[in-house]
Amino acid sequence: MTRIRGARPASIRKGLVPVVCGRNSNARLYSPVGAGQAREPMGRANSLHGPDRPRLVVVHPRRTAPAAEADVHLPVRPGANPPVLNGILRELIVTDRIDRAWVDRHTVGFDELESTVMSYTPGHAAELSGVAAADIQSAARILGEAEALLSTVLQGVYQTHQATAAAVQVNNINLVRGMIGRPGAGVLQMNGQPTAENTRETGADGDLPGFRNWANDDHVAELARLWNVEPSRIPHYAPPTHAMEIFRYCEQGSIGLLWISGTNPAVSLPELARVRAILSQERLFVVVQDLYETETTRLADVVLPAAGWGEKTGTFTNADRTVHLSEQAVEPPGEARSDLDIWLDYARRMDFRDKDGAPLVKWHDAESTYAAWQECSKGRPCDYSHISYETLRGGSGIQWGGERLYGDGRFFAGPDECESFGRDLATGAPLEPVEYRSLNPDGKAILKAADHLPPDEEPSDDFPLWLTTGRTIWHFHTRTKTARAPELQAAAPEPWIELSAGDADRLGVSGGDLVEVSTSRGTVRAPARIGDLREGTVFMPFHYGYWDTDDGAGPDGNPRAANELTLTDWDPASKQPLQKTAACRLSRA
Amino acid sequence: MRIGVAIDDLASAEGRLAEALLELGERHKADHDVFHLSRTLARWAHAHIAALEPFAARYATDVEAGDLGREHGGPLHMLREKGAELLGRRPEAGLLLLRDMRALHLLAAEASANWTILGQAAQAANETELLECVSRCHPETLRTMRWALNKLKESAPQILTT
Repeated sequence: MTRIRGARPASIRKGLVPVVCGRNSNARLYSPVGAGQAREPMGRANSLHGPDRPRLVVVHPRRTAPAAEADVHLPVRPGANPPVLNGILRELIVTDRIDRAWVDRHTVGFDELESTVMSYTPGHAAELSGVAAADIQSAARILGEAEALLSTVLQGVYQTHQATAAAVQVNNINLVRGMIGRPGAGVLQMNGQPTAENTRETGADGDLPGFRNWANDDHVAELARLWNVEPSRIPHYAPPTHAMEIFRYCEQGSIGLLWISGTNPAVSLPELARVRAILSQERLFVVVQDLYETETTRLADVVLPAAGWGEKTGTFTNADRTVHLSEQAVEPPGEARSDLDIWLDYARRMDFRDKDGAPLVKWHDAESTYAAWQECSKGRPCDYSHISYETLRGGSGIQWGGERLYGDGRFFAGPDECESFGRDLATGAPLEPVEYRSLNPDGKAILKAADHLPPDEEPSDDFPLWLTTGRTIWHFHTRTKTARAPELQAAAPEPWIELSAGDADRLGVSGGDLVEVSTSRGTVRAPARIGDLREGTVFMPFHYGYWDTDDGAGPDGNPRAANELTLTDWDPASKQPLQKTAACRLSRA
Repeated sequence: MRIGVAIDDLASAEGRLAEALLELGERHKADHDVFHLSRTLARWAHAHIAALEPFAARYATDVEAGDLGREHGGPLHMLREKGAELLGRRPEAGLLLLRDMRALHLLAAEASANWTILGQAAQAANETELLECVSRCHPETLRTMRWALNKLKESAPQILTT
């Protein structure tokens, strides 16, 4: 699979056409942790309101702030991104707004893409997505005429039905137009906050470090050499086990110890009643490591207080590959220690050894750990070997891979270097190495096609409305930090349930009324807000849980966390939970 | 010509596959990926049977389209799902999953072999429409087969060594 990363937001300028897919980018922009993005805002304030305004296309079910600024806003039905994007791709192809010479030189899979998207006529795409056919054509015209095209994708796509399939079609739009690897042209697949990019590079999300491919024996052998262990000590007989599957194993009883660090699944995962039941099991020993008390620490057997970012030294890498050094400013309070200290101590106490009997972990602080990472990343796409602490102290903010990662139309996709042989986008089954080798022997970008599939849950008589969840600019994740900042907390103190004016009329709901939303998983209550979103769709922010309520861990008669309602389901390829497509009903409480 | 026989065999293999997929989903409702995906893949199998129908008529066999409108929510179905939700919290569910996925893999392999047979016959008889149908549908059956095999690969280590 071609994973595309790393255009530079700074290069958004005159004449560009950002496509924003399923992304309340305003919210991300000014989010306090989106440091890299805030420093170089997407140009909303300057270029969108300046004389040489770039044209903007937004695909999003809600009329978010960026959607309101857009030249074309496609208010897509939740879960129907692929038909819209396939419709746009078809328009680009039939109106000959593609760079065929570039496609032939740098990609594989065009014929299959073409034959897949051909059935997505504007009319058919409109029928499947609820977006007007003329709007799909207008969007395609803008994207097709752009001299420089920048696309960004975030959670709105990643946590919706057919997530990877849709994200890949955005890549395909840029690829068929040859819009990548030069100023103003590229794709920003936003992982999330800066540390989300780091975790992917280093393998902390379960993959192997340095984008090494678990199905490539040479990559595993290289890692085994670096760590001085036998290759068989590095499990690589199957894909890494993802978080949703780990929770399933806990539920089944085949995992007895779960260590959760710096996240709050008792609010952020779907179907919270199930998550609480899993974490509360007697047979599961739960360790939680966090800065503050959270809903999840309340369910833990052991809580390890961890240091915050200003209380420890380390580096951050943004989605645009920029590496920053963040030095410790103050001592952590009380017994709190940095995550690294906690794990180094754990490794010492467990007495982990390499194959010669020496301690497995040979580094002892942030800088020596980083030096080991530099060595580990050497020769991989994310090569940090030239970016030392010393270099960063001479001026933080250095991009790995240089300024243009794909400037020469090279995609790190050769069979011997790629990080993954890819997956079937519908079933998630990994491609076999030999299949990949014959598909893409020269390491070009893969245009991977995907047909529309109906969502796993759709509105019914009992639950006639779509439920989609999302974010507000005032809070990050589950508010464990932002609600402790008085200004942010005051700006958005409580959850709300947003519905369209048409639905509000029909259901006799006015703004401010206490309303109740139910799915087959649960019910929540919150004040109603009448918003500008698709009729038939209900929106709820997912940030709000219970740590600042009397119970502290769960609803105790006053359910307000959006994830009480969402269903346990995940994208077969990326394994991200699908929290933006569920069926619900709404009434006055 | 005996192409009708091959169509017959194929349609009944896809029918068994669809039935097995739906049952698999019901039996493993607590394995959410299996539950959701099994229904998507059963739709594929049903669509294959429907795609074969015109050819069955042409080559004079009597393919019965799968029970496309199969009602979810019947008493037997509910009982299975309820049982699966309860059993799903127990370790034995893992062994059952391995057994069921193995059986599914074999059913998909049988259907796939039948597609190969039909494809060969269509080429020899120069039946381009039939060949087009085979090349459109067969890859989906193969995807189902690979999914089942991959699920076995992923689950076996956890289920058998813990």
